[in-house]
Amino acid sequence: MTTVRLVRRIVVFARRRAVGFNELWRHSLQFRVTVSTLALSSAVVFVLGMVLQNQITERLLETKRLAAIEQTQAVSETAAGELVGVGPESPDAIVARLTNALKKISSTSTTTQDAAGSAAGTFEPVLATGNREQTTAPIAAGPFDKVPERLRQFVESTQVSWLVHSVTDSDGTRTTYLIVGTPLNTATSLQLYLLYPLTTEQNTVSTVQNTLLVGGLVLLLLLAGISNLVTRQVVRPVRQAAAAAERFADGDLDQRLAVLGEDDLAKLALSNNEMVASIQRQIRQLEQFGGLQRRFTSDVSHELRTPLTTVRMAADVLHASREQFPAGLARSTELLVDELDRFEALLGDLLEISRLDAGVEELTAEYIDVRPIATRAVEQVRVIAGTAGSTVELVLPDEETVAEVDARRVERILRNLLANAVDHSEGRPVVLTVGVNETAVAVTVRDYGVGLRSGEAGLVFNRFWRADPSRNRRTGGTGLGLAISQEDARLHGGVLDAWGEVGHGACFRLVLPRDQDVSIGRSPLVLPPADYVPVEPFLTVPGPPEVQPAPDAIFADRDDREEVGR
Amino acid sequence: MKRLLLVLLCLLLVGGCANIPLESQPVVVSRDKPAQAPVDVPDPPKDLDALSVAREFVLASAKPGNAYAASRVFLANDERVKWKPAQELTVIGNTFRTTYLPDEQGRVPDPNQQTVVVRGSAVGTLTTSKSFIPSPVSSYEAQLKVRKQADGQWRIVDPPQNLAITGQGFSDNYSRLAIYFYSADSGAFVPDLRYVPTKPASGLPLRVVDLLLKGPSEGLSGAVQNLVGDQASTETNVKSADDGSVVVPLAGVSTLSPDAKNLVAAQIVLSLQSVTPSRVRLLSDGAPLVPGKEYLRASELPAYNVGVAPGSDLPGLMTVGNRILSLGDGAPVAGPAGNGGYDVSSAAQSVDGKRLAVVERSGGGVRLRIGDLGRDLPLAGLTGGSMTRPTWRTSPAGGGASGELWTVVDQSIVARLSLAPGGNWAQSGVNANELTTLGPISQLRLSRDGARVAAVINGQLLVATIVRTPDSVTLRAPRILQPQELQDVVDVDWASQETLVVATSSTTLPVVRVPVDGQRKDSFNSSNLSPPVHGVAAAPNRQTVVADAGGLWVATELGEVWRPQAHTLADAYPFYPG
Repeated sequence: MTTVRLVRRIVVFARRRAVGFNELWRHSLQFRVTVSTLALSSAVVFVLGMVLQNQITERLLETKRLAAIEQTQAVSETAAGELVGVGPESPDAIVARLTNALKKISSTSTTTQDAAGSAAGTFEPVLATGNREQTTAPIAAGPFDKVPERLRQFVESTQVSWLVHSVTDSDGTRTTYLIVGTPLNTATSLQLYLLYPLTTEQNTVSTVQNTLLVGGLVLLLLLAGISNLVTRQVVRPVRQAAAAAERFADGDLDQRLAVLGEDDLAKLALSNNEMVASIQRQIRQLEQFGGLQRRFTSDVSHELRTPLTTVRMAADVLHASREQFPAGLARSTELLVDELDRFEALLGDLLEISRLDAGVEELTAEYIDVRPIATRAVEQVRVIAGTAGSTVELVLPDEETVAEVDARRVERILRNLLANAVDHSEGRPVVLTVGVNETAVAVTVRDYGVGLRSGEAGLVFNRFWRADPSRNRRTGGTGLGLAISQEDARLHGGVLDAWGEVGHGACFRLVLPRDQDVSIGRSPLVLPPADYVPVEPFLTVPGPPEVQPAPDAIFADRDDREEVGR
Repeated sequence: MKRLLLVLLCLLLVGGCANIPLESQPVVVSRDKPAQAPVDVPDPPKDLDALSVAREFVLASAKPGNAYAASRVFLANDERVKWKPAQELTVIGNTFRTTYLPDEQGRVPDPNQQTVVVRGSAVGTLTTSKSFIPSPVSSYEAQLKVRKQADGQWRIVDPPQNLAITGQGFSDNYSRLAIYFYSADSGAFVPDLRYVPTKPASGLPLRVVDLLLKGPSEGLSGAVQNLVGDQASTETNVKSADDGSVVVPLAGVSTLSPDAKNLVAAQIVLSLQSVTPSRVRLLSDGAPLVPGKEYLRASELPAYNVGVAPGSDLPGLMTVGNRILSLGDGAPVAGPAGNGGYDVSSAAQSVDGKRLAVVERSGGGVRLRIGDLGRDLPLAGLTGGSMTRPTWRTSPAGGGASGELWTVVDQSIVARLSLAPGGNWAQSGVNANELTTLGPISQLRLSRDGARVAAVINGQLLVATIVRTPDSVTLRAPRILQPQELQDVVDVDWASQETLVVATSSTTLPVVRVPVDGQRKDSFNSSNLSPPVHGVAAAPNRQTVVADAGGLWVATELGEVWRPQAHTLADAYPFYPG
């Protein structure tokens, strides 16, 4: 149980670590470079170490083997001299002979320290009487049981052979021998085996291995540290640049990078600084230009207002006495007055929007029930609705809906939205809904007209935007109503947005905070409206329940739709 | 994760490769000169019948090289490896028969198995100590089971432990060596005959030293000393050194006294002289065995065996009628022995030549007179119905005149007379039970080195060993030499320490030379002798003198025609000192 738990814990830990590693890998260039360097260099170190180790081991063995074979040849001559007359003795006598020869070999090899002997090192000699047919069990002197059968077969068929063989002694120590066997040049078939322990070579190899291991590890650590340091030199300026760019994006246009030295990073900082300066300059220019434009609009509007007042008064005089004029003149007078009305409205809107742009408008908010404002707005558009053949429905919450709003502005927003809805309602009903929750008040204006094409929902608040510029400007507003409404909503800290779908009408929603100091949070009313069911067009068209226009009718109507001012 | 495991696996794999391997396959080293191909024993000819297989096996058994590889080829496959022949060999006659064992009644014969009976005359046995013992029985018989193998060849399935080889094979493949052992009683080195495989010849010194260190054979033990002791061994193998000498590196002899070391050195050099003409370099634990005499030749040794041969100033004597004459000039010896003062039946001169013993006929019996040559010979107080010719024991080197003499009274009692301090000849017994049980002793001759005795019993030739203790003297290990061939021996004498010359009453083999172990017999030319021969005299480096009906004849070599002795007389009986 505990082990299972432990394993689970370890797995969880490892997974967490892996996730952390992944995060770090994705985010830190320094980490990535360091880890990559570490991985690549460890591969290189590993391969290098292996090659080195292989080379050393092979050389060691090769040297040992050559020396051992040479030594064996020399010893075999000694042994053959010692055993020159051995033949038809009894087994005991042969053993004694072989033992004596071994003694001689040992004493000779200890006294003569020739080059080959010293390189080959110590050995254990074995003498045996084997023959090729193996008709008799061999008589042997020395540790004959350490000589494996497979080597004996070779040597007994008079081949000088060698092999490497490990023997476990009675006390459990395992010794590896290089065994060289040679047939002796005697009348009887005799073999000499010399067992050279490879202990020294094994020790050397393990020392080399340890050295390589430690050296490799140290090298890897150093490499990791070095790559870390080097990467840091590059990454730190980059990070600084990133931080500067972030601050620049946040509006701190005076943010500059420190230029140190003349290297590539300094060049980068320099060019970045130049770019930032250029951008800053352009932004300033644009700001100045925008301000100039706004002032121009405001000035023009103001300047137009005085002559317009005069023209208006004169037109009013003419309009009052139009019965006295011939019919054509009277008609002209009426037209003049109508267009002057429009002109005045446009001028008012322009002034309003230029005031908003200039930021001089101030919110005179007070806590007030929103429901009466909505009712008032509906009353104001009821006449226009009547001429357009649409009904305006009002859906209000039962309880008092108090919010800190500027009643005039809210009324203007709602009026604009209602007028726009009625304008595009195609004679279908328009519904105004007020919703409320703890933090926000929302008002939606829903119509079931032609709706909006995709992408148009964001454009409707642009000034003088029209969906179809060729369309005749026949009705409605100045083209600034929705823009002003949006500015008004912003002034409240609220949001005005729109939704529309071809054939399903459109819905505009105003969300205002109930308290100017508290943010909106979640809107009480949803967009798209709750009654909209998104389905495949042309299969089931969920329009308003009372009207089910044919698709071709909708397309036909689209041409007539007035979008200016929405 | 998988990748990591893979990398780890590769790491371990490569790491393992870089280490020194623990095992490998054998690799042949190419050499400039081609390897010397071992001499393979050829397989026997195909489709040999079972009898021939048995015969060839016996013939091949004479070659002991490579653990009897030559005879192993006649064995069934699994027996080839298992077979461990004993060290003892039976030597049989050159002609032997191989026959199938007759089927027993009611037994269904197996067509694939035969039992071959090898029958021949038994000659002797080569013991584990490599000495030859004549066979006490006359015939040899052994059975060999031969079975047809899978390849259709007959092979022996029950190889005998004790091999039988023919006499011819024995002499072809084995060499006779004399290993010398020191006899403190006579101060001489006594040869011990051994037989070792001849091939390879370069190993002969090795085998000699080996046998020497193992001590005297069972036939000689008790008569001689084993100077080197049990701890003695060779440090390394005996071999020829580059300077032409034979190196004998001994171990375990450093505790010996300087005298004993000298004797050991002499023993080894004497034993080696028959196998190598080289100088012998004697080492004890790496240092010279005898300080100052690292290199030795047989000729450089002190004359240890000077007492075992009569001096050159002693030409020998002969008994003619009742007188004793010199062989050298035919003149009678001074004193009553030469002028017929005694009724001399037989006589013996001591090896140093100073004393003379005479068996004098007296009445119906005989009595013994011993005294200085050329003087009156006082009675020694020994009488009997008959006495063999007395035989003198050699006194130890520098021990003065010979003081001991043996004779056999009434062919059954071996009498030993030694000079007591008072000048009397005291009689003491010899435990000769092993001889006397075999029959009446008609001749008895002590070897001049005093280690052995040759006797003639029932016309057969025997050699026994003299074992001396302070209290008693025993004759033991009697061996009948050439029991089949020598049936009617009348006289015997020691031609050398290891050779006997025998006179027989047969016409075909009147005079025969036999080694002391009876392994062979060499007959002298018999063409101009007139049998029967009734006496023979021999001594080292002397002509052999025989007495036949016509007189005395001499010869030096085996095949040489007998020449008349310079002072030959009819009915003469010659004898050399001893």
